[in-house]
Amino acid sequence: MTDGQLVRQALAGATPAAYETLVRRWAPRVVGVCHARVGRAAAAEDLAQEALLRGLRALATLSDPEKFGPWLCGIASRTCLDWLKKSERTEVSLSRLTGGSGSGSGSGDDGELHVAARGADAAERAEQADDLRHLMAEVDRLPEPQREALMLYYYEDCTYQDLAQRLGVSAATVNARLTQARMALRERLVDRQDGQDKDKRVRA
Amino acid sequence: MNCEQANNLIGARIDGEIDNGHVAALDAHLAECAACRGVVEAMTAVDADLTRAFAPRRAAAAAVADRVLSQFVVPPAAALPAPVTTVHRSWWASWGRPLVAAAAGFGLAVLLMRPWNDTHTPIAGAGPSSVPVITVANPVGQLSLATGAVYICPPNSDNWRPLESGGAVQAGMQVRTGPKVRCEFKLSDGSEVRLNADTRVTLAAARRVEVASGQVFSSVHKQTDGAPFVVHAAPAETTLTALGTAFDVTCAPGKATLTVVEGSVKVDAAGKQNDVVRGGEALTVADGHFADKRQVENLMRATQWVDEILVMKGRDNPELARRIDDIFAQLGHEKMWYMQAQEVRRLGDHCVIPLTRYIESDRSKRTPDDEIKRREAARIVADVATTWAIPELINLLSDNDGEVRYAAAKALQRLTGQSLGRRPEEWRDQSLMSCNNTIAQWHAWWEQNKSHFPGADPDSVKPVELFKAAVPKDKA
Repeated sequence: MTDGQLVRQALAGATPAAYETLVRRWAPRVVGVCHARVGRAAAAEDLAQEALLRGLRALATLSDPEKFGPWLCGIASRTCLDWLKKSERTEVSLSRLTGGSGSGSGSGDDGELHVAARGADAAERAEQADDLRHLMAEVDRLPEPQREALMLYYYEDCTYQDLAQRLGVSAATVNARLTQARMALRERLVDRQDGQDKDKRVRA
Repeated sequence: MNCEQANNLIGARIDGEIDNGHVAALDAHLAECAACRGVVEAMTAVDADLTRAFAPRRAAAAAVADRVLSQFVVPPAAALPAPVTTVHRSWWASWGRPLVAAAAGFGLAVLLMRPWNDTHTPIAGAGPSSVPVITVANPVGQLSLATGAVYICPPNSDNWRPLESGGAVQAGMQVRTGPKVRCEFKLSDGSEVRLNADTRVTLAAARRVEVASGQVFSSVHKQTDGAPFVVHAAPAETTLTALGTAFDVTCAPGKATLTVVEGSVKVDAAGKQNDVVRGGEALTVADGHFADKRQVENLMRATQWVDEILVMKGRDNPELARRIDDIFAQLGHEKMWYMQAQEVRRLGDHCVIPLTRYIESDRSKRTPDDEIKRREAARIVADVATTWAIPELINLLSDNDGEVRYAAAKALQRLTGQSLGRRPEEWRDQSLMSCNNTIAQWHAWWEQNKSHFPGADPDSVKPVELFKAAVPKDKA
């Protein structure tokens, strides 16, 4: 069933299930949009929740039900911008992007990446969790076009064509942005690994 | 193939998106290039790590949905919004500024888009309001847009009735358009089928269209289960099978012409001959035999009739945006190849949009000679750009070619007095990857400072003024 059909059903009061289908269908993308905009997972989840609620409550004002998705993503973007302005995080965000202070730890947002460090593999698993947490922090520091493409891709596991339509660019550009993002991440992870190796040698 | 191109193809292969036509070339490059073999290993590892790292994020999104649903109170039934029948002309607000800039030197783009043509107004409901809407049990699609009356008829019947805009169509239903009427059906699988004037088809099933006569453009939605999308051109007894692609079919008695815009299409001519037609190619089938297979130089012009439908879909329509970009890229290509550089320069900032679209398009990346032309185009853009083109120049900073980045950085320095800590020469001499942070800074800088550059924000320009400026006097 299309978004437009679901929106009409929801507005007609036919079934609450229409609201649920819309929310479950679009939640990953809205969280992805918010994450790409503000660069912090926990904040993104709160903002996505707010944007989804705003969208549902304003559903009757949507002029073209078929455009529910782009409309909702627009609400999510505006919600994030409001948040960034209100909390004066724009400059913080810029410093994060330029590799300045405030990056690296993932701001404690990724608690779920911690694994129980027990048993024989404890050290190794803790190290893996640390690597993944660092990886997410580096994702947050990517330039916005690359970060947006990467986040939507991994949040939703969608095709280049889907992403291209969502971002308003060609599939080739999606391909290029994902490639640049992965290469940048690889470069930064290698730099980090080199730094850790050096530290170990110094300690030894 | 250079390493940057190979890297993109490596990414596409990891994502299962590589075009079959590129596999052999990539493998040949990898056989010779140890560095790129290392990239394969590195990118595969990063992809695996990202997939693991995002797993909790996807779970978090599901939890967000749960919280929203627990907090949201379903309101009482609201009035259905009125059917949308107006054309979103506000796309001029964002497209207009560049279009106007281009109009003086490149009026063809405006002519192609024909924004002044009032026949774009869709007609919801093809006949008198007393005509009942046909309700169907299992629709294969619905009429999403039409420029005039569209008629449907049950199978094996001659009982033609007008179809309301938004009306659903059952499997097996025949559809026809009259003179000067074009329309689009959104099929239940997400594919879009557009009918030109004087066209007659049968929507046989969700992914099967039978064309009796006229012209049909199919924009096929890729399905994860690999189900084929089939168009049967009855007059030429030709079956076209597509997977995730866009193509155009014209049928005349005993003859069908296929033009593939994206992806590829398998062609079976009456069981006698078969072939695969790829994006940018056209094939004519006559009397059950392949008559002519050729490259199409200007795909957008070959399928220009579709533009009338796309314009109705509003400015946010990415397909329209891509087509406009391609038209400009084609114009830029022609200017660079058929005019002296000095003549192009004399057009001033009117040439900025066509030339930047040309630089960004695949048209400027086909041969070694193209590289020279696109660098020349970048230098011209850098010399003639004015403040409204700052966002275009910032986009060029992400170009794979250092010379293009250098030209864009020089122009940005000239127009804004800023370098954001990176000299133009560094944009040329250092890798694109090392430029990423400064690119992000430029985007952020522009968001914060664009209000200081009057006229640089397209949304600040009134559409009516743009319209008057862009439309030739004899049409206004």
